[in-house]
Amino acid sequence: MSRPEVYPFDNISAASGNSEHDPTEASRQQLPEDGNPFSFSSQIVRLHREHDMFEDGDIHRHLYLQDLYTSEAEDRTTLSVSEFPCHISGCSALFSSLGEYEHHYNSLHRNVCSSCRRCLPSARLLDIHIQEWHDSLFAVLAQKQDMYLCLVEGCGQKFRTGKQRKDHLIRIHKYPPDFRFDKLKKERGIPKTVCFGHGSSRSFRGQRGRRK
Amino acid sequence: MWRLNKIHHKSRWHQNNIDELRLRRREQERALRQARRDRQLVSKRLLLYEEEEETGVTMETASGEQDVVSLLLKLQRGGTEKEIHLKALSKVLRESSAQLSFIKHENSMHLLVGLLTGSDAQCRLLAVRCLHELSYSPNTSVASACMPATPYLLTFLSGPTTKFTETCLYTLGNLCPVSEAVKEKLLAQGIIPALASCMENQRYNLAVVEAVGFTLSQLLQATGAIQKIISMVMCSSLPTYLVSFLTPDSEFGLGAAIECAWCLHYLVCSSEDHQELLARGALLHCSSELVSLSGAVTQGPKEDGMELLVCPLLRIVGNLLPSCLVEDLDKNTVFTLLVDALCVFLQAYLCSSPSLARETAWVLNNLTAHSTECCSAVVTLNLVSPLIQLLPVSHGINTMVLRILANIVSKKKELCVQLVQLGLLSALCSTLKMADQEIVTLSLEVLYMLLLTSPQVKAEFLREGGASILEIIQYNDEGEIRQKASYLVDQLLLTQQQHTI
Repeated sequence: MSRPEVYPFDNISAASGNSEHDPTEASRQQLPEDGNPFSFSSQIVRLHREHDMFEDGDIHRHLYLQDLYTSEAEDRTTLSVSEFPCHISGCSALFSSLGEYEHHYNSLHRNVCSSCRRCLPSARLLDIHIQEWHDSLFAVLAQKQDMYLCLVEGCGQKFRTGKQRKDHLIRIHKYPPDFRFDKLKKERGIPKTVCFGHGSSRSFRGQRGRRK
Repeated sequence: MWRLNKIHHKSRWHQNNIDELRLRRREQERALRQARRDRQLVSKRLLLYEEEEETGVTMETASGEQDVVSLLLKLQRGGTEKEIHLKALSKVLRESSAQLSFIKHENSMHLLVGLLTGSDAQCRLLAVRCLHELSYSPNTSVASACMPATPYLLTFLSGPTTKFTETCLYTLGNLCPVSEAVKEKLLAQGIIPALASCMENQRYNLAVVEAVGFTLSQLLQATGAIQKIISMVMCSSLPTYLVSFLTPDSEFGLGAAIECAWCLHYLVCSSEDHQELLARGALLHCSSELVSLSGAVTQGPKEDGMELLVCPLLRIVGNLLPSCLVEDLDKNTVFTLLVDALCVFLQAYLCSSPSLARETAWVLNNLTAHSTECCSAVVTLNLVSPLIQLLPVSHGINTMVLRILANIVSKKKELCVQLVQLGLLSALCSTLKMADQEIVTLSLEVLYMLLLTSPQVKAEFLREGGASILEIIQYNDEGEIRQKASYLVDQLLLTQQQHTI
């Protein structure tokens, strides 16, 4: 029975995340003839004396020789975990758990208006925003009929102006007068929390498509 | 002398204050790391006097310069009070200023050697004590001044006395790393055969065994002429003895085992031909020792200092595995027990000693890369779930764990469905989203192998939202990763098209 190939680790710290280099393989960019880029094979790794992976153990050994060893791990930092990056181009945020990452993504990238980059907290509010701010047909219709929909899901009431809707929200639904997602158009200013990533998941055209 | 039933902080540093001790340790750690980068990692050991050890209090050292000269003059005159003067001299010589005075004084070493080889046994002991203090000095010229005494020290190694031999050994051990010239001279004077015969004669005295181990480890850490040293050591009986002393002693503790294990580690990792060591049972002994130690770890609170023994044992096993035949691994049950032991260490050291946990994972990778039996053992011993739980942990650990899982997937395809049931696919859906490119690459490789096994796995992956994960990866910065993701997307799409036909 043959042995698997034995590879010495490059003297690169394993913690740096660099890929292991296979010295016998030709340039990795060239695919084999069948186009299959997968090439995993079990590797037995031999570590030479000076390898970075041996550093901490060597240091503890020498502290022991010098009578400075302690078994209590002082300076114990919390366990380091691999990070998750936000994949939206232009957003360089990193998170230490999937939950945090998903919260970030949902809060800042999911319901983003492709026209003005504003981020809305839900698909419904995004729809309403796009309709009211970027749909010229809406502006025309609004002159003749009540088009401003109450923001509270299930209420269904419509109003002739944005101000009337706002008053309704404050009076009936007890909303604060400065509710961030109901800025009247003339107050427009870019809120500080919006992330200007390019990856908008929604657009005017997309919305129409979705309605089919 | 380092009775390691319990390692305690020596008050040698004149600091009973725990914070000062910590500060000192941190400083020393920084210095050691730099020394390692410079390939100058070397330490000496200082024996304490008996009364220091008993009371735990280091004696005060008086200012030495005047005393050295006057003591030397008194000693030169001879007489019945030699012992008293020698004892005083040995205490005074702990001070560096006294040491410098000593070596400047004419014929001082000649006098000391005379007392070392004289007929008075107590004087011999005290004379070697003086030499020991000098050998410990970080000043090269002070330590080198001991060279005239070394032929005698080496001769004394084959003698029957224990305390005296110990002191000779630690003195020689401190001298080994002083300079290339000193080391060459010691080699020429026959230090290796002397160590071998000392080990043989005094093998029932673990304090001496520990001292031999220490001295040998100093030689084996040398960078110059290392191959010559190794071949000399391999020709002697030392390797057999080193292998036999790896078990901690219930009374004496870990000290001897620690030194012997580190010697073996230096032997193994400095050469590529390990047939001799394998023939002497090094791999088997180290593996079964690790199995015993893992039992101790699970049983009670972590024993002080166990990592100091576990670490070199792991390294020996990890580096011997490449030289071992698979048939030899598969036919010996100790290696499946070792698989379990390694997982115990992984859990035990994950928080307290992450780099030791990483070395453990490295050894498990080598085991599973080599032996299909060991891959099976991981699954049958219910170790897959604990391994999967380690996948969030960085510091190089999750990379190694992914390799281990990849080894199992590639060698035991019939177990893939079981692995998926144990949550491997879900875990990959997380690791595929990580920032570390090596992890993403390995995850894609494992995913590829899993997807090949059955359509159920493909369906499960799609259910877990795999398609959108792969789509995102197609925009990864690295070309190879994009290639792999695209290939998988095409594979998956092919399947979907087949279903709609």
